[in-house]
Amino acid sequence: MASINITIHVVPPPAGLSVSLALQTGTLVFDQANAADIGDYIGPVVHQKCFVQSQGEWTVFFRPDADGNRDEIVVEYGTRYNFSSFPIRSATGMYDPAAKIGGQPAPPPYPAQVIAPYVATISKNGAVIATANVPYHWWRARWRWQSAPRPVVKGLADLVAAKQILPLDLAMAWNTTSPNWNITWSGPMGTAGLTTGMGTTGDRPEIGFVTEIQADYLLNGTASSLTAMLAQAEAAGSMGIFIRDMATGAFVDFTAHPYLSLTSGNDVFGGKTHTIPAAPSGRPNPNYFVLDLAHWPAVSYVPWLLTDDPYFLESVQAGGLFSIIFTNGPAQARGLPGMAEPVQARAYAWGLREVMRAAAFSPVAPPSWLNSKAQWSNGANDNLSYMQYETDGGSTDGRNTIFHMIASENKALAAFEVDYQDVVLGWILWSGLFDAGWVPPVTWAAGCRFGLTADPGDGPGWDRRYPVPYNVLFPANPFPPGYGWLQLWNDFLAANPSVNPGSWPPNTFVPANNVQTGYAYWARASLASLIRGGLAGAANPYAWLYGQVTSAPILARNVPSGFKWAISPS
Amino acid sequence: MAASAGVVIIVNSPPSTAITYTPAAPSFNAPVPAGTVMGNVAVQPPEWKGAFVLSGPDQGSFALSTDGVLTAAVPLAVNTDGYKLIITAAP
Repeated sequence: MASINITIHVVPPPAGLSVSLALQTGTLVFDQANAADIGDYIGPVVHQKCFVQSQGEWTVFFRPDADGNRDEIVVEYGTRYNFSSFPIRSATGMYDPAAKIGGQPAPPPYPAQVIAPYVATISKNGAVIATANVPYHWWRARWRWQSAPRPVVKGLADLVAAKQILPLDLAMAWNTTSPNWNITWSGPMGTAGLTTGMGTTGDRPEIGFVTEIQADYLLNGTASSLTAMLAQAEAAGSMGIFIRDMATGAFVDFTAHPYLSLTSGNDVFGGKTHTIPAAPSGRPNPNYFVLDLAHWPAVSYVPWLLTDDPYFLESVQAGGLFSIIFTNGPAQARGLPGMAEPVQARAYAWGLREVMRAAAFSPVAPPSWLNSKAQWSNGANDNLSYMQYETDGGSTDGRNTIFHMIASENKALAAFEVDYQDVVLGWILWSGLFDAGWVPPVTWAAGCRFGLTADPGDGPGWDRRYPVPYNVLFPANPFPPGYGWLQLWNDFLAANPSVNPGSWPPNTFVPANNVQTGYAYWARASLASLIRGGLAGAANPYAWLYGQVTSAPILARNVPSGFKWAISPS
Repeated sequence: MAASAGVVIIVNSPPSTAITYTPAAPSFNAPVPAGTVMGNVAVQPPEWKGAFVLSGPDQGSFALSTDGVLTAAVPLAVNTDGYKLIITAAP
């Protein structure tokens, strides 16, 4: 009868954090003790360490605060890529489904969404301190566990003083009240009330220079807006925008690796597919974010500034990168790899917003897992070059030369999109943080808004009583000789018989509906920003429009102007 | 009528001649959850069909299934000297 003596050794756990991911395909264990130290984030308030460990397509960051008072674990999936050769591959060597090698489809397997739920068990020094139920995990997305949220340490006055956002004034918010936002963070892959089908038309709270929730918090300090604002900043992690370079650990440098694209299959040039490998197209469920730059919400920027939380800074940088690589055709055509995608004026507005914010406020000497201010300054410079080309006579397109449109791909004049742009452009000048070369193109671009609100005493042109038209069709290029604002107005009337200026009182804003009333408030904000930017030409249009939108008949329409558009001109 | 007789033939398992233990890991990090597989036991000859017997000072902290999988019966704390077990393949 055989027997054996055995000894089983149970040792103290490795010091620090660990997490196990009980995936349907097996359990992955990540330990801080086995992770690489990739450098501390040292911000104005936060000093956070960062250790990283990757297994397959999974990456875990262990981020305890340097003082030991707060712990954080970030779980990413499908966020690391090999950019050393084409076609681009994921961490495990997967190609995009549309990539070609020698004219033939790149071999499978291809990236895939994780659609089966998994449990993450988080431990510290061997003791389980939290578990997280993850319902699914999208390719290029992430989530985090934190022992405590970072406190808000700044306010509106601080952000304005640093020129990080335009000044907001409650006196510039009409018919607007604070609701109970009732938005909380539901956990990994949550959406926090954001519209997941981003291309959905129409205004919504998250669209703007800042979001309505952020503006509500900044102006009113309401508890529900703070909760909602931070929840939406967490939800940025659920968006598939986190694209790291395996060689650096940071988000891919758009200058070192130019003209990358998220648009699968139609971006082959120079014999190379520039697509970053993606999971097959399709929407696994309604909580999957279908991304669209034209409706890109800036959910992370203000929370980052208020808290100095580098997790939010990462989302700011990832969003800026998304703004550049949404598609790559315009940037490649112009040789400007850091140019925001300009297919629509609103897309360029929000893309420019993202790139310029990252350029202005990214750390000068960040740890390896963040991009530097210098890298982002390349983006700012490329956008300046683009603006200069569009506005200094390089273009022969009448939309540019006559109507001072920037995003030349636009087929029609959508005034509200121009106002989005002007809010951003006014901030660029007002901030004083950028090259003085921005002054001429911004001054030039403001001509579109000025043309829509020109004083009739200055001569015939667009009738400013209708200052925010929606999608005015341009004639085909080349425009007829002598074509200008008056001719565009006449063509607009011809195409819209219901618009009857003959019935309007003189010199009075006559909105056709409440949507246009709302648009007019945005136009006021646009002009306020341009005044902030030092454009003297904005003063008279602003004075007229301010008088109109604050007149008793307009206010009586009870259309909320919104906190987010409460930009003050002085 | 022809005579008949019932016959019962009993084939005993051969006695175990050797036993080997393959740990799932060289060591385990505390706390080890109950149910964690600690290792596997194999007996020679392969035809052995007997029962395992656990003994030793720490036997109460472990369980051994009929197919030779040793698991933790309770959460295991740090033991710098090691948990001591004797596994016997009987008979």
